[in-house]
Amino acid sequence: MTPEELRQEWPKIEPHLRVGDIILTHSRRKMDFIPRIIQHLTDSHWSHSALVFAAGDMLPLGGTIIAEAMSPTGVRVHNIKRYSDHPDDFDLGVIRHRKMAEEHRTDFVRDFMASKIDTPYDTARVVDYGFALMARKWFGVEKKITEIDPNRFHCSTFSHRAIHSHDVEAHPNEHAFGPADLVRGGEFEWVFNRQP
Amino acid sequence: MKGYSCKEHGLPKLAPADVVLIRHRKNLFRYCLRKFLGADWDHAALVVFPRQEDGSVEHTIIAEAINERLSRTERDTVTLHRLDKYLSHPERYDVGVRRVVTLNDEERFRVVYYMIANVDAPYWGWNKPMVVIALFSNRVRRWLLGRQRFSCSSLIQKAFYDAVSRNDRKKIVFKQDTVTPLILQELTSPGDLARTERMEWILDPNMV
Repeated sequence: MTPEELRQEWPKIEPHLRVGDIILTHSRRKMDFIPRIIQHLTDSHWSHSALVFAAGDMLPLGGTIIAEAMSPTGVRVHNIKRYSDHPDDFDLGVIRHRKMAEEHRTDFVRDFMASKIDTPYDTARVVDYGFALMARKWFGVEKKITEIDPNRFHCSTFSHRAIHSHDVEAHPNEHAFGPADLVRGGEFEWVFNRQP
Repeated sequence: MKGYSCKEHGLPKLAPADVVLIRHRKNLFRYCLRKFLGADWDHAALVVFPRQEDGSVEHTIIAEAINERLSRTERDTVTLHRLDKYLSHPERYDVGVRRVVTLNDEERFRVVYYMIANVDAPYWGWNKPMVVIALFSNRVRRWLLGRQRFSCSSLIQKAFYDAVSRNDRKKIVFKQDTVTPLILQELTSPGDLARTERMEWILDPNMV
């Protein structure tokens, strides 16, 4: 979506966001190398994901608060305006879990997000994931990715584990998670700005 | 005043909208700020998600207005953190907790919602050189106390002010001798939150 389209369309969708919706971001900034590498390696438009932490249920005057795992700060909470007010710098998409009950969003997902605030960023796994993607894309070799550290997150493992916070067992897809895997997994439906 | 080595499991049960007071130890500017305020406390935060025994919320989360560098280009403003951030370092921080016991549950949640709605709001810094000068001049001190905003505590005062109905506002006025709502909401300091009779101590390290 072009910046102009985003400026016009985003205010229409934001009031309809719900806790647990996943916000996907695409960086348009020329100097943002890491997002570009992620987009290239994953063959995806998207390079980062965040979760809606508070929306109309908590914020009667409007606005949206998101929770995200970012380097170097780890899991933090921010206002979505850090992205939505800068359509020249970021494209945004929204996906929603197809089957999540409304009470799960607040009872489980938000409690999970709140519990994980200040959890460190999983830099080691992101680097390892990056090498694995390079090995697959450039050499056709499957490289084993290190096991997940349950005490650290990167953006997509945070999103994924929050959505599945009511599942006690480990989810089998979790060992290969990037924003593109969220999009292609089939669990989510597009709410806004469908892109591969 | 002695610190105590106590993480969350030793704390009394906290509630949403409990006010957390912090005293920075071994910090010259914070010492000057306390002297300027005539108070034992130099920072304030608010409990938004208390830890739950069933494990659904593993850590107490507080909302606070701070001015902390996150990265080369980014600074924290109003944000959420674990209370453990302060509890885990008793050598650096003393922590106290106060509660407005006259609030009902709905009012407490409105206070919490107000804080969350203000995540990423700007931080209004305090004038450090003037605070130091004010230590040596009562005239400067009085002048500065009449106009210095304290982001951390004034945001908490605003949250309470917004949460209760007009008729109940007297129960959440934390600053003495205020003339207007603007002065109340902008100039309430951590010392005001510590001194007010509108709150009860839930955890007072002076009593440890």
